[in-house]
Amino acid sequence: MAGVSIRSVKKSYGEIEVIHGIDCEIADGEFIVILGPSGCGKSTLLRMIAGLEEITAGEIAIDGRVVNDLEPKDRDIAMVFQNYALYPHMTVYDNMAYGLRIRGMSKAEIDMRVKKAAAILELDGLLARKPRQLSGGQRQRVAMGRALVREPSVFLFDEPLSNLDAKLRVQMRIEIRRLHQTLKTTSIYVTHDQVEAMTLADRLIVMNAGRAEQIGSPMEVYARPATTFVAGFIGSPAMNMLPGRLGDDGTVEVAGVRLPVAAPVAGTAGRPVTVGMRPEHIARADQGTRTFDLHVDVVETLGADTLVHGRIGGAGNELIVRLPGSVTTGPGDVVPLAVAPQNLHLFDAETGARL
Amino acid sequence: MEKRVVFKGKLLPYLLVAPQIAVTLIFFIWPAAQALKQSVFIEGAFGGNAQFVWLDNFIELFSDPGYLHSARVTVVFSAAVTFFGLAIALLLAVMADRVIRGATVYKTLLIWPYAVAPAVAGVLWGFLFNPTVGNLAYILNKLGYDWNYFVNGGQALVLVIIAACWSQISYNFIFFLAGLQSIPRSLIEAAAIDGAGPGRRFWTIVFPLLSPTTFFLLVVNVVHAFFQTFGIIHAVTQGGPANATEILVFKVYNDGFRGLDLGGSAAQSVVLMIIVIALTVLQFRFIERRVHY
Ligand SMILES: Nc1ncnc2c1ncn2[C@@H]1O[C@H](COP(=O)(O)OP(=O)(O)OP(=O)(O)O)[C@@H](O)[C@H]1O
Ligand SMILES: [Mg+2]
Repeated sequence: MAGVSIRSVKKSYGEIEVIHGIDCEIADGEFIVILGPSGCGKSTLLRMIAGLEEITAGEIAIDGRVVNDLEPKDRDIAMVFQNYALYPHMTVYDNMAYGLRIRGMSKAEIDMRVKKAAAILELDGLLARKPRQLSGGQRQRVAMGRALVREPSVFLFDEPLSNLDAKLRVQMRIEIRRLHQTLKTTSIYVTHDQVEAMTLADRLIVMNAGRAEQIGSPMEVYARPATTFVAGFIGSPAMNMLPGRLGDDGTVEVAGVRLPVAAPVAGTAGRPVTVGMRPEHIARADQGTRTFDLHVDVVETLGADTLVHGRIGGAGNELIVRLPGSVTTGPGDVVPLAVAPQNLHLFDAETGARL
Repeated sequence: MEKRVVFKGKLLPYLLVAPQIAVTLIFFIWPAAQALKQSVFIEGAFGGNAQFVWLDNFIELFSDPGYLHSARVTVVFSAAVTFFGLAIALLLAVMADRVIRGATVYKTLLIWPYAVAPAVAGVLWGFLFNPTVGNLAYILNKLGYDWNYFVNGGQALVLVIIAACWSQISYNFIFFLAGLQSIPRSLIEAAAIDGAGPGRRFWTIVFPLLSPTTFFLLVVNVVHAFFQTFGIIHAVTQGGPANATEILVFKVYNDGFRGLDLGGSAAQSVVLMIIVIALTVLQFRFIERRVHY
């Protein structure tokens, strides 16, 4: 078991820099999820940790040892690939035993480890099959098994569940979580699925265009997003972002409405800001407590919840609100709403940084 | 989805396959039948009075030390051409697979020799190694090696092997390269993480995954070495010196058209035909059952 240190790591392909300097200290036994949109450099970062991609600048250390110049095999890591990368000409057993044989382990020890992993992953009956005789979910398990038997100090996962159907994905997600709880091996997991990220992670690295926008626990990232990008990326439906201006007396003006702010921010009155409100933090109010009115356009009924799309004050300000399923409303209605001051997120209008 | 065209009449479909059938009949079935018939007759010295002799031609063939010698030469020649043709092509393909800069030029240059006709390739190599005017022969002689393939049978055999290999390497190279490029990169990466070095990755992952390609090329190369190297032998050594490079196809020609032993020559052709049929059957059965790993 080991911690992983990522220090000012950069990556360029030729002239083009795709990772612009990432810092992160990953503690021993932590489950880290790297989350971000397609093309932001998640896989590249993971592959640099694995040793499959050269590190252009900066340092990566595993268990206190700088691994920049070490071969993948000397880094004591195991990786699960998106397409599983099972050896097609070998049986499930041989796929799992391959790495152990190379390390010169005794036959008995190999057999014990493979059988143990197979039992954990419910692959017992499939050991003699070739990968092509397995379903997608079973292949995924074999790929996990191949990493498991090695008992490495760090697990790396590159979108391991993205080829599975929705139901299987949920099931495997829980299984991975359970495995981590028993093994407590440091794990780094790449995904672009925010639900996967939130449920698995001890800490998240939210990446965008080669930068780490925020590093923190799922709850931190959800409650205090560091930038408008993070705010928009985490949460479903996405956070409402409206243009606003700072008022003078610790308020902010959005769509012609003055809202009190929990922690007044420094800055001159009139400074343009972006105001974020999560759909689930906006509640229905009565005439006395309401802060603004929503002119309803579309209503989506989800059962437990109802998503109400509409506009507030004027044409441009669209808003989505998540209301309890019991609320009945329809297009053309006007719904009075309120939002608590502590649920307002203020961001710099230009840089997008949290204020 | 079924991609089948159904014809209304009977005439059109027959008409459409007629040219193919005609070509096969005239240029393959008919000569083959002739050879079969010929192989059980002995032709008179001046033609005409052919005599039916059952399998005497074959019996004579297999008790003829000249024929057995030719068979041995063919085995050595084919094995060498196939082995070196495959091994060198595989080596080049593995290296080409790694080249990033100038890869297209490199690949194109490697493919060119295949466009050169075997006879021309033969002349070319014969010229390069010509004991009196050849550049390579000059270098060999300078290095203290007594090179003269006109008199040294072993050297002549080496030379025709080189010439036959040369163009075959290009052909094999294309197939190996395509095979290599169809192996997903992540497999190699997974093996690297599992701890396998480059050599081990090649022998335990890449080579097994290339085996369908290798087997296909093996059969094609053996067939090539057996039957399509006539032009090279004819251009370079004429089977000599002292029959050292007389492979079976060349002996068919030598005995039939020079020695005018039509019956014996036909019997040899029949033997070759049987070999080709066996190889083809082997290949088809394998391809049919070919499991993609
Ligand atoms: N070999 C390469 N040469 C040049 N650019 C590359 C190379 N590999 C990746 N890139 C670029 O690096 C960036 C990051 O790629 P990466 O594969 O890390 O994205 P990702 O976050 O994993 O995306 P996805 O979710 O789609 O897998 C992309 O803009 C990509 O175009
Ligand atoms: Mg990726």
